[in-house]
Amino acid sequence: MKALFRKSALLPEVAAWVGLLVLMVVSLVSSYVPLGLGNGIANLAIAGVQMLVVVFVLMHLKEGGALPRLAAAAGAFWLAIFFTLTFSDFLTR
Amino acid sequence: MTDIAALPPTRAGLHGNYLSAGHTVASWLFTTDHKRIAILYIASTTLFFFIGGAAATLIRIELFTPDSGILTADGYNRVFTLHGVIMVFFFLVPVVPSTLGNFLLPLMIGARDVAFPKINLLSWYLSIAGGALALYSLLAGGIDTGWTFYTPYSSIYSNSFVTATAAGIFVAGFGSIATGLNFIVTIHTLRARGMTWFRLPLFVWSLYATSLIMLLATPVLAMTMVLIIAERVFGIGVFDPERGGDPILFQHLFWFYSHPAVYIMILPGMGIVTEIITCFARRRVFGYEFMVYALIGIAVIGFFVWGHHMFVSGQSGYASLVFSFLSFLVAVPSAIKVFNWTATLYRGEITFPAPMLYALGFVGLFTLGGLTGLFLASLPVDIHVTQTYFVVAHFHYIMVGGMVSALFGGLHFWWPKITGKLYSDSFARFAAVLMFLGFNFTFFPQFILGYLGMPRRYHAYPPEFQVWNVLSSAGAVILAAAYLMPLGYFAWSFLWGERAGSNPWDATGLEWQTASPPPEHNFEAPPQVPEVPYDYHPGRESARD
Amino acid sequence: MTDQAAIAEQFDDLAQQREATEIGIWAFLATEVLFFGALLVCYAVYRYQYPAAFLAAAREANVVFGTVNAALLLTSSMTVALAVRMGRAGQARLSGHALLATVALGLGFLVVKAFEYTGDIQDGLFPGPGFRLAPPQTQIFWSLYWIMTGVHALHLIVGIGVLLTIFVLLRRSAFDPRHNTTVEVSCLYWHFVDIVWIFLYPLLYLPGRS
Repeated sequence: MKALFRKSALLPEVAAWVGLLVLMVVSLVSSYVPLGLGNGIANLAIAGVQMLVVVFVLMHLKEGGALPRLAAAAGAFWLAIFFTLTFSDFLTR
Repeated sequence: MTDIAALPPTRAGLHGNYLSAGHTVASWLFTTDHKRIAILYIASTTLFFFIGGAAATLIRIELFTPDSGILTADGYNRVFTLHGVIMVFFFLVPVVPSTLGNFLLPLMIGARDVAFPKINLLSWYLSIAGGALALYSLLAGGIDTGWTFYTPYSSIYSNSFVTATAAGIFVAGFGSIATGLNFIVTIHTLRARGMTWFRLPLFVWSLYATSLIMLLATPVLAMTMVLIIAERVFGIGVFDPERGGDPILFQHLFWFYSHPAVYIMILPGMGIVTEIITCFARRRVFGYEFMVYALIGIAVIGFFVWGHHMFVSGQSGYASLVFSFLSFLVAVPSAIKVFNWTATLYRGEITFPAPMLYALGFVGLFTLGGLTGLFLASLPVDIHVTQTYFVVAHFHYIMVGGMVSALFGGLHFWWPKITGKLYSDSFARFAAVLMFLGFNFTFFPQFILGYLGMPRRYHAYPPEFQVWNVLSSAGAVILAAAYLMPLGYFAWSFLWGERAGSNPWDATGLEWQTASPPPEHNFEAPPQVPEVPYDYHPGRESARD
Repeated sequence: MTDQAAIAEQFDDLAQQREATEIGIWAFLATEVLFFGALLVCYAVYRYQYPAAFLAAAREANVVFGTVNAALLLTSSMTVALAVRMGRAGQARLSGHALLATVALGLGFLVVKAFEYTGDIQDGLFPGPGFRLAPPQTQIFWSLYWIMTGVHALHLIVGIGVLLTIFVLLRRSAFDPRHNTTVEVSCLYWHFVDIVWIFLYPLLYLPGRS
């Protein structure tokens, strides 16, 4: 395992891991601070950042071609359509 | 390299094609050749078509008389549900992509196979496993929720085989996702040299648009089925009104898939019709790029309109307004397609063999189905005709009048390529005309019935509706004859038909540049890609030998 | 091993094959996004409709187990990314070790989850007759909890099976990870399963703590 860490090329993965754990702890601690609606927003914002770290650093999306990015964007876009139009009903009842 | 098209269709010409590559059952069941998988799909979807058709026959017999005839109210519920479930999930959704699409996509782009041949075979097994579950529930006693599975009836109260059917749809859904995935990757990566995006035949573009919907909508249906099963089996569903569950949320989930699924059921048909019309008008397609954008536009906008199925469900008025507006929007690309087909015909050297008759039938029926769709997109009219036969007639004009006509057109157009044999054109033309007449005879009266207020999904009705119902049932007899006829002359053609040669229609497109039936790896030599698709030259002497 | 043997017959060269599998897995993940997306929409709608019941219900979830599992999966995302990096560099043995570490972390997750599920059931948190929380809408939260974590756990089990298979294949030198995308593709799937938990964790364990 030592050989693993000696290579500087591994740093992005290790750095990402440290960052992910720190974010998780921040999210956990923040949820015990009474912020009202802010609790949920903070939790989700942190989860969003964690997702971006995993997608762009660990899944190497930033090194990949245009098509994987397009596919990932399509997933996000269609999910957004799903949420937006469903809530166009529930928010206006 | 020898030009294969120039070779005389000798006995030796049929040697070494994909059909003769193996004659054992195993050579079919474990094949990874996209052409053989297409044949497997043709067999299985034909079976489902006739099962669904048998249910439709029972429905039309029951509705021949106003009072209860051969079916009880409960039996009628089970029969129309069976008809809907089988026809939508096991016939219309998979039929064109997995049969003609599977066969033609690699040929049309000049590839040796799809990108993931084993996954392609897996899709067929998934669709068969799903179909088997659905047929099990049919034999065990059926399901009575309607193909829409509305909760809480489906999740709590229905005393029928909902779980097995839902599991079947779940499994078959993954077959559909695998097909879509395969097509998208194949189109992206396996195009022959020179086959740029804007040289793709429009059938390929239509499969691309369809695959997009399959990939992004089907998973939502799959999860919806999981939720129903979880509620029925483990009591942990989320649609139970006693716990605060919202039946309208179920409808949002269901229609997020099922409205785009309507476009799964029509886009490939549009692609087929474009291929046929250009060939028999001997014209380059009018507005190629607009046709491409229209296909993609329909696929994307198709995701924005699902709420028009829920105008009377209790969804908010604001949401209904938004969905109504977006539904009108989807008519624009659809209209572009109809205008462009018409413009392609203009000043063409039109001939009317069977595929062309089916294709022209498609354009007419699709237009009528599309225009009545605008009635339904409009809030006040929709509230008048919701849940009536007007809706039934509308979507049958799109799905049966449109998609099934296109499927038959495509089967007739590519039959010589698939089997290497010619069929009797006069029989086929007779069947095509019969189908058009029988279809209108069956379903036009249903527009009138719906407008007069006859609700759907009832086994009995007031006597004043009888005359229209009798007309409809009589038309269904004609329609059934038109559907059965090809079984006869196709079988005859396959056994005793004349050799077709590689390009009997003198069509452009890579699939016509290889032998009929195609060799195992599609092309003997890397195919030549023409400059643009549909390079037909009206007014010049045909290149036919 | 020659390059030719590693290319399936429908492809012209390795680059084309690599591109195809890469697009394939990302398109599949887009599908998975919508698969879990349906559950997220349900969660969002009901949390919007019944905020108080959701906070009260989520307070009962076992935050210790949830947090431990989040840490396990985040760590496994690093080890699996290392497996890819090692594979690309041609270090098949190291890549295999990283895969094994990932599998171990995944199994650890499942063990913790099993303890958690047992506790939940004993605690009367399975919706139905023995359910102990008060407003009926809390049952909606707990139904979603069971379905979301259950579907996630199934994905994880599949992932463990896939990674173990690849580990065995690597040991037998059945393919060369420099030319073959099998490792990368499977690891992308694993990351996706991790991302699902990144969202499930704050949605199921953290609400109602303050």
